[in-house]
Amino acid sequence: MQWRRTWWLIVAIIAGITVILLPFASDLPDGLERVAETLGLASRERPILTPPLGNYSLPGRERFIGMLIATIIGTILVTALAYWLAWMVKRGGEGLSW
Amino acid sequence: MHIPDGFLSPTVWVATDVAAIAAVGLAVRKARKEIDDHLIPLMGVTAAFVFGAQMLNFPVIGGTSGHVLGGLLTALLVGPNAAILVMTVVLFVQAFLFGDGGILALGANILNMAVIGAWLCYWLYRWLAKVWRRKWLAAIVAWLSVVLGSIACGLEIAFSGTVPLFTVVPAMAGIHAVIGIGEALVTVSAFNFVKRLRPEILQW
Repeated sequence: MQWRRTWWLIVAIIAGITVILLPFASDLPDGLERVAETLGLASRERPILTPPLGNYSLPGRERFIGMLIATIIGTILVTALAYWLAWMVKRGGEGLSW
Repeated sequence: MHIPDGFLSPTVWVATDVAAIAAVGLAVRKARKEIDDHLIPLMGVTAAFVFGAQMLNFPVIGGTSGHVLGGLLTALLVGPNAAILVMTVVLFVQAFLFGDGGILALGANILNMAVIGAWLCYWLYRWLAKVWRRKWLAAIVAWLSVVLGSIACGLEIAFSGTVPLFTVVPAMAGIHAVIGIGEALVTVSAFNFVKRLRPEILQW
């Protein structure tokens, strides 16, 4: 399982680089947020649920620490989900004809 | 460019959710024949890269920031159908865990960033590669992926009846034409890095 360790090492490097660059990331509104503010759309935002790590932060934690933990959790989760989905799709392709 | 809930009318979010489910379903069906043992971990790593890149906003103009979407790069690494799946996983986690993009608007975000940004722009790249030099093509199509995605986003908001079409679409396309320069630079840098290191994995 050497190759599997290598891939997870690459994921760890990606997460590490993201964490290192996080303090330099801009807090300014992104393109859609800016347009929404300008056109008076921003007040229409109505989230239908409260996400556990809303705005990439942890309740009760300092902003940067929260973002750091959110980055690590998010990176591991998307990697594992994409890996699992790919594996399931491949397995389905081997067993099913549709 | 993640549309939150509340920006789209029920008609638009239902229509885009249905279209996105159909697109992801088709991608699953097509990807079954394409995914092999080597592509599985690469899809995981690409998802990590897209997630990380989308967290890092860079300042552009007028007090606005932007971030890389990573659609074309994903498609060039794992293929267009697998790219839809990778982008969908990232958008799903962003919406449900971090509230980045709406739950009801998830279909619209999948259409804008996965179907248009990755799948459509991959085939545009492949088509243009037949008639154009490849040197600057990845940069141009990466830039276009952001602009086309933003136009689709503007159209969805306009069809929701909240803002006039000729107000929101130029505003979205204008600011994302600048943000797209960052997308072009990152896509070409990462593309050239992989091309030098492991050219055999590129699907171009």
